[in-house]
Amino acid sequence: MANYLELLERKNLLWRGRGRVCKPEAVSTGFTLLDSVLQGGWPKHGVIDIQTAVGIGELRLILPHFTQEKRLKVLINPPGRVQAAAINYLSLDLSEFVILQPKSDSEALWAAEQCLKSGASSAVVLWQDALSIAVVKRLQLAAQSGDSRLFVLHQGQYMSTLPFSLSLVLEAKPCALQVSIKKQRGSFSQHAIKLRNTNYWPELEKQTLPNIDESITMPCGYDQRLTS
Amino acid sequence: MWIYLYFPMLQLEGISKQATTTDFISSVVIIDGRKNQVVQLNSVAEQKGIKIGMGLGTACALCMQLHVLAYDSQLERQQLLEIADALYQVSADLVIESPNGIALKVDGMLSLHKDLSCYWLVITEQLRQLEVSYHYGVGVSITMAKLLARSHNDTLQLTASQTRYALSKVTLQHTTLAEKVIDKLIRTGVKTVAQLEQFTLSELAKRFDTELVHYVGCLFGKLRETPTFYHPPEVFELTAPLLYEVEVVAWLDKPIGYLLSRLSMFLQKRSLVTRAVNFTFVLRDKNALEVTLHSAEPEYRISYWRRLLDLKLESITLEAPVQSVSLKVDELETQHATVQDLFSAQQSAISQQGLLSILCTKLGDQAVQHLKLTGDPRPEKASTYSRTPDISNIQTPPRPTILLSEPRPLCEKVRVISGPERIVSGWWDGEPVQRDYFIVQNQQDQHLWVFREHSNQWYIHGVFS
Repeated sequence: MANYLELLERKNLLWRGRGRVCKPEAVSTGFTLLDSVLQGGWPKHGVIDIQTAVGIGELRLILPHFTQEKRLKVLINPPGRVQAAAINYLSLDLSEFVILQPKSDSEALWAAEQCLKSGASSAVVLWQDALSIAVVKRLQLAAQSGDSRLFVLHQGQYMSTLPFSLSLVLEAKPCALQVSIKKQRGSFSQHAIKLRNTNYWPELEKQTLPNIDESITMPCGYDQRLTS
Repeated sequence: MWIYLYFPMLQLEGISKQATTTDFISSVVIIDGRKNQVVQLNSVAEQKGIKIGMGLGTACALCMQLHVLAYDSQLERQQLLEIADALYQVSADLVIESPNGIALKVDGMLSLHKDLSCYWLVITEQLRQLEVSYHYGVGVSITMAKLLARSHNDTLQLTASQTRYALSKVTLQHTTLAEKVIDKLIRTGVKTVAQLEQFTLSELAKRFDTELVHYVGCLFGKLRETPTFYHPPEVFELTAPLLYEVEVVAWLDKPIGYLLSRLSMFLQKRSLVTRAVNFTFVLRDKNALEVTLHSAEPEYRISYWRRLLDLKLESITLEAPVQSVSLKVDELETQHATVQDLFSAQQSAISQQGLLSILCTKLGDQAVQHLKLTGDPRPEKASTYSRTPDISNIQTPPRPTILLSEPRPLCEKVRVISGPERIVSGWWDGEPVQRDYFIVQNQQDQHLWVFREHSNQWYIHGVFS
């Protein structure tokens, strides 16, 4: 009997459910700690939801992994002017970046879908505050067919639970960024980790400089502003 | 040298192309309302004894069940444009002579063909596909070729004497000259066009007005004609007329099929595709019904649009009988090859250029931008957006990922992380900047890029998003 089983297993005719983990394909995030909790990194294709405030390092969390793929990276509706200097600082290829500023939300979603589906872009970052289930499903399918991933950045919480591949909440803490995993496809674990971005942006994560307050004498105009 | 093609039955043939065969068992005539004359008629009507130039009364007397249509110059023009479009594929210079002629300039095209007969073979092949009847004439000028074509000359090779002989058969009434001038000429003994050649232009100028001088000069190639050459249209627009009003959607099948086949030919020749087509159904006594079809994938094939239209028409009820159907397509894109990799999970792929052109078409050129480094020390000018990708690689200090469009006053307590970085620049172009930049963290732990102006004003300029 045991021989038969072995034979069948060798011929790939027998499948054992036990002990197998469904592990979706992943792309390393560039942070070892984050990779370990995300089962290898960002999902290779899918829609990733990131709830975050502006300016706490949300884009800096995404940017490092862009070095791994040569395809286009599309940023849709960024909340200001994206700086080429910052992209260049991470030694990313500027020619791979495209900035889209559509006039309406529906056009932004259309553009995101086209970029995902085309296969010409590896990642799309979309700043969008409202999404529906149908839209997310549509974007998921587009991402699957184009083998690309979409990051949706937003400030508030969405009204309902949406079918994302991965859902994260970012919170700023002094000297670190707290990443909590709300939902992850293929895993039940809910983690919250503190991430320090010192490798890529050492200037921002410096420990408080020795006596910084004393070394710079604040001009009187500055003090006035702070108190006003 | 010019070849003139004369299409005597343009409207009739245009209608019969879209109508079903059974419609044409009866005799059909087309009447020019202003002159009250039969201008076009089909073979059935001809058998009944109706001739071109007859009045409507006579025609009706000859045939009891006569189908009478009004002459429509708009429709003929459209047919003519369609023929011109097909001929443009094989002949570069052509002139549209409304309402029913096309002149082809032969000289330039002969370098591509062995001789005139080979070139003519290509032209006739195109005309055969269009299923139009025509007469043709050859001449040194458009006017001469036109005269010969309208008198059904139909010969390609003519020596000088043969031309003179052919022109001697053509009376002055065939020309476009005014009645008065023709009268005057006949009184001087000139009856045929050939006889005009014996006068020099200066002699004619003494006795007749400039119109005749110009006409004769152009006719024998002594004066230059100034034709306006045909250029194919950029967008597709076509109307299919209906022989009678249609109340059932299913009966629109044939005209719609005709429109779509024309569209697919139009797109295929230009290697274009489209995402939206717009049908307009003109209804009797009601507003026209507009049906716009959108497709996520750009497409040019008939079968694809056909399927979409059928789905759409299922949900449409006609409020009034349809009088004509037209199709308009103006959002055109170039076709891009899709790359299919057998082994990757990726199902479809278009090139980066293809994707960018799609985005530019829909969103507008202004909405699609690339990043560019300029090397300017001033933050506002150091990184700009540009229409073309940038490949420069300049060493840059740490900069915020996102710059605010306008610096915002700093009104909160912050902790300095690094700085100051003094930027004094721009004295050469009238936008001088003297600022001390700091990287700071505020109470909400956001990383900000702030600067202090010379006048001790503090501003937020960017965020380390």
